[in-house]
Amino acid sequence: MAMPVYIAGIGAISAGGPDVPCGFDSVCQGIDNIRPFTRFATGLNVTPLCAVVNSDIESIFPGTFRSLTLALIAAEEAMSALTDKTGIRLGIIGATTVGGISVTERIYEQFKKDPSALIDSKDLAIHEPSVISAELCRHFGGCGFHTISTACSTGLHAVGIAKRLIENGTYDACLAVGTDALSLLTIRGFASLTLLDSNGCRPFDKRRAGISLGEGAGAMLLANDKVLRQCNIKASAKVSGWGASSDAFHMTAPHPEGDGAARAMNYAITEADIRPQAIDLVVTHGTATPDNDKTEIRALRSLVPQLPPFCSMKRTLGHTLAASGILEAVFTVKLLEKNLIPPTPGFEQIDEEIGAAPSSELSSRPLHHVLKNSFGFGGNNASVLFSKVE
Amino acid sequence: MEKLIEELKDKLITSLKLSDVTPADIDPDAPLIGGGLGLDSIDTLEILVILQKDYGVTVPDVNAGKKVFGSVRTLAQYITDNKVSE
Amino acid sequence: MTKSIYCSGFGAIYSEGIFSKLTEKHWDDTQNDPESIRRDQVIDSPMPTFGKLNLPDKLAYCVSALALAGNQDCGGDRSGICIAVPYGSLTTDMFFMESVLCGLPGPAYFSATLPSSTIADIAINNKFKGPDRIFSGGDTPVSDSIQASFNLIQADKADTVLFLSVWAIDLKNRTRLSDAGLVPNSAFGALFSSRQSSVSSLKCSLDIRNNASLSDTRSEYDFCIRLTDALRKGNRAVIPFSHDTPENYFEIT
Repeated sequence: MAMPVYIAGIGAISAGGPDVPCGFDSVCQGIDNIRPFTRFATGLNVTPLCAVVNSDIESIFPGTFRSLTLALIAAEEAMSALTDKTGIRLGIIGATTVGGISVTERIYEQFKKDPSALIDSKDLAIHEPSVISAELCRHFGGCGFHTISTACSTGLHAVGIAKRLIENGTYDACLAVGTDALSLLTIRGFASLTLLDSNGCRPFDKRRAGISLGEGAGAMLLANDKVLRQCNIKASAKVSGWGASSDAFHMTAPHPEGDGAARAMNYAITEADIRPQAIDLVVTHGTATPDNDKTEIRALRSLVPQLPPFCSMKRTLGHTLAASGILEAVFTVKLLEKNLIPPTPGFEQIDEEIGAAPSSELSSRPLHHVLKNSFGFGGNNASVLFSKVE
Repeated sequence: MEKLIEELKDKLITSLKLSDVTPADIDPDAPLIGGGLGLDSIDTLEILVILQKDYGVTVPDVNAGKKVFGSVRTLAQYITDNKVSE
Repeated sequence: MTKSIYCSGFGAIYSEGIFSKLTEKHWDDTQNDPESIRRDQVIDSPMPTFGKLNLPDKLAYCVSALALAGNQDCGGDRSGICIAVPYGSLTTDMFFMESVLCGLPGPAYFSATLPSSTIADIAINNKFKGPDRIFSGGDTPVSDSIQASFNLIQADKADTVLFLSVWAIDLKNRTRLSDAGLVPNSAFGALFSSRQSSVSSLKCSLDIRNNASLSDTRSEYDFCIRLTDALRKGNRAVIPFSHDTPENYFEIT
């Protein structure tokens, strides 16, 4: 059996607030942070409803583009636990879908005005998602960095990959960071796919009609025993299982039976060596598209027919794309620690086709194992089981 | 109407970048989506863009669109019924 | 226990032509770049969706078809894909942005801007439902991806892994970027398996001693070219990742 991989530190910046305590509070209270988006003109007839990071973050890390700023803020919070770095091999996993797209959009606007202008290769470099991982590595003195991008499942996969790299001895500690800032590309893109709900997302609700975008960053510092001892960290949770699968069905629609999603969840549970019935709570992907919510529960039912309690954080945080898996995983770890089940704002009416309702109010019960799901476009599925350190 | 059908066939092939397909291969009454052309929900949305850009026609919601996209003929009929006259 | 790993097929597209275990084709006179690759040059049966594929997705699809040719016993949830996309979705992003600025965002462009879309059609058509790894940008996505391919098999997460690497920027977009330093449009793919599916499968191994010294985009591209040559010859060979770091190499044993 592989060595345990602990969660040594967590960080988050989101619509719920600029750090973990504020964001966690927002999740537990079931706050609705979805608002009309006004930061820049989107060209859409209807102003899209999004969950934005309200804090003034521009000046915190001067010279960085927004998704990098968010990443650094969340990462610093997570890394504060690493008080003694002596002899510790630290790795970085960066997860993002759009990275420096805001720079690209600016270049494009300029180009449209003056097609003869050449593009600065420095700006071209920022377009690469790896810039974020590289900067995090430089900032924290890591010895290696990796970047992944699997659409909406990226952030959660980053946690899984960090786990593997510690288990196989590559690193002693690994910082996984998922980040995405709102951009014209994603807002217009999801609008062109008719996936935005003009009433704001309503997870699992009978009338749900699509997602609400959000922005933010989540960071998780995973570490082995040696790091915990050296830095005197008392970890409350560990990553006990990670599952990854591919639907191989369609570019943007999930497999209707939730086949790939079920496999990913099953791999996570199997690796953790627990029975499916031992899952105390599922923090779903729960994006509120008609397809996702239905197939996610169908998949969950195929593993646990009686269905454990489940919730969605999408109305509080928005769908933060690459950040979503890890940002919500950060709050999942807090829920596990505090034995809390949060409400699911946005849900009102049960959908008979789903035949189940998410948690609708904050409640307390002993939690030992909590499953987090994250499913990406193209049928890329991630599932991670977090277990309490008893 | 027949002229519009032929025009639509050409547009579908070009705009949707269909390969190994000629206008003669497209049966005007066969289902557009899920049929032999390999068109899916993303192509439905691309067709919405064609309708708007080339004919000034919009579809109020995607569900209404599903009827419109029944076949090339229903598509042509919808355009004829809704096209903004010059 | 370390498993033996075999390469049972490969495909490559370079400015010089199209290469695989079974074939070698040169471009015809109308083609001045791999961008103009035609379906019939790589795939025998008609494929209406071929033309819809954006350049990175198209090149990846072609080399995967070449690598998979003649390999019937893969697919299912023990078959995975590991892909390196050094340029990510840059070229598709540019086309999408153009469509946004023209007022009519293209849904097909948007869904193809995700680097993961590059493997979607491959996974769907070949029913590869196993684990995927996509390595985008940075200096060493190729070595990360090939290591992941071997690791997935060694860790028993997959029996077969399709390893792919794609360098793709459309010619139209190249003229807008300062072209110097961009690798030519190319792609490479290899099918690795824990089973020796035929006599012509080549037993191979990977030895990476020093992750920190693996180098850059151009070096990784050169590595794939040398690997292609070695696989075509089919003899024992040691292919270092770069000339400066002989301690990191791929070996045909």
